[in-house]
Amino acid sequence: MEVNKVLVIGAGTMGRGIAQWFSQQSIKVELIDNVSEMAHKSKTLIHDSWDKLALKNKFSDSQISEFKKCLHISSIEDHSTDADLVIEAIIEDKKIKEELFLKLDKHMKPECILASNTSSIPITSIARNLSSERKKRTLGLHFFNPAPIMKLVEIIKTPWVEQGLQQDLYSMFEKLGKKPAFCNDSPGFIVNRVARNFYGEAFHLLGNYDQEQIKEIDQVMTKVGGFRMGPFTLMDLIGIDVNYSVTKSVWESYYFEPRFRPHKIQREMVESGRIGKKAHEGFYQYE
Amino acid sequence: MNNIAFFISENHPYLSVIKNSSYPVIVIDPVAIDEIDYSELDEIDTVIDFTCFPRETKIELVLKLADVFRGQLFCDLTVNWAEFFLDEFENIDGAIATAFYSPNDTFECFVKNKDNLELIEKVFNNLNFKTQVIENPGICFNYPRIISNIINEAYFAKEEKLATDEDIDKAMRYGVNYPLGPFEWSKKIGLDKVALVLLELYEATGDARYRMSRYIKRELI
Repeated sequence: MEVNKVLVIGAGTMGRGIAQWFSQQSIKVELIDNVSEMAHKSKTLIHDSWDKLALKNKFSDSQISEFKKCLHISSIEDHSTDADLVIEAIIEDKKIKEELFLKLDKHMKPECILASNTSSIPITSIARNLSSERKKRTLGLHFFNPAPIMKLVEIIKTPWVEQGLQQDLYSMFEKLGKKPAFCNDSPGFIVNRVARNFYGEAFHLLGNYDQEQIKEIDQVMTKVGGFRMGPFTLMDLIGIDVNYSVTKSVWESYYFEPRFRPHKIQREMVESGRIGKKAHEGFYQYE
Repeated sequence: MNNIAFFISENHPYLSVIKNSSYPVIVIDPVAIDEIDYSELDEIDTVIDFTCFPRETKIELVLKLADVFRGQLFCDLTVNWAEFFLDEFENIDGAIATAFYSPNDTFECFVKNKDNLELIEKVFNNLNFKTQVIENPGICFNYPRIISNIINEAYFAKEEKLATDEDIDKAMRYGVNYPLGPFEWSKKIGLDKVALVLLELYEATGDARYRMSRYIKRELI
């Protein structure tokens, strides 16, 4: 299996990061978005990022020049159909994703692999209505933010995907310096499931809102546990609203399993608009 | 001069560090708490009890010490309802949580009287440990409680054949920058301690969120 050209659909944070990383592997990338200005803006942001990395001597000028040649922007109406791999990174809406994959199934070359970067929608439900041949070449490829830096790619299997194909993708990512991990198509996959209690148990320790105890828990988890950030600092960075939404999604997907139960403080924070760094106020205050 | 002695149990992850320290060490057998020769404590001013025992055994030890020892007592309550012990037993002067491996050799510490902090810090320093002073030891402290629940979830994922242990460890290290994967972590801590924390949480709260994965139970048989 050779991947020489990748079509990335969705130019938000994840799509942009995925496009940047593939370009850095000297793989041709076509980046598209429903809103074409978004794709162009992402291209500018990626170029700016590369220029900064060149100034920091992370890459040479000639490398940056090669990366830039690899990245192309197309419109959603006339993107090419000869990509070897498509990675979808659009809005987390099951119906919109299903429709998109049906179109891709019809238009992309038969050997093209279709992948979703979804973090919450079952891959099997995205793939279920595709042609039987395409189902064998459809799976989840879940990257982590920021995609050019974070090494993990979760490779999410479906009951239909060819074993050889998923193994080939694993080998490809490993060769390119990523750390791939196989997992079954289950809510939250690995990380968003196993990490739930980093946040959830911190809320249960807290019980009721207490600023001093929030600081105490964060300090313990960094100084004793060796984590880079404490749970409350990390939630502020991710967005308390985003974290709450993932928590609810996993909890509901597991038929309200108590281990994943959200906490009233999460709801209160979201309802009061204190959703973290982006709102300048979360568990901590930001200038 | 403050004469200090250590109590330790065989299941403590830092058993060799504590045994090889310059302090007198008494190894406590959980089934023979009454048979220990407590006259060894006659010249001792402070006992630092590093034993890692479930609640009933710990209560037995603390009550015994209330009878035979009049000095200061600091108990390791990593796997216990620390808040309950500190409120119920006047002879406990502080609580520590050393029975869970820390990647930074740093451990939570609570003292009733802040004047005692210097003593604990000095002892920890001699063991090459660092202290993290806390005000809310709650049930099983902060780090042991959060990490035990992460490990429990990894075992539930294993039960469901979500991924291999290696891939789960890899995902947590490289997807969210954990210093160790949950299975690597459980080996460092000792799954028996993780189980004690989950049992204590379940006992104290009655909350089903602390139900233990049967794969943890299976590994401990």
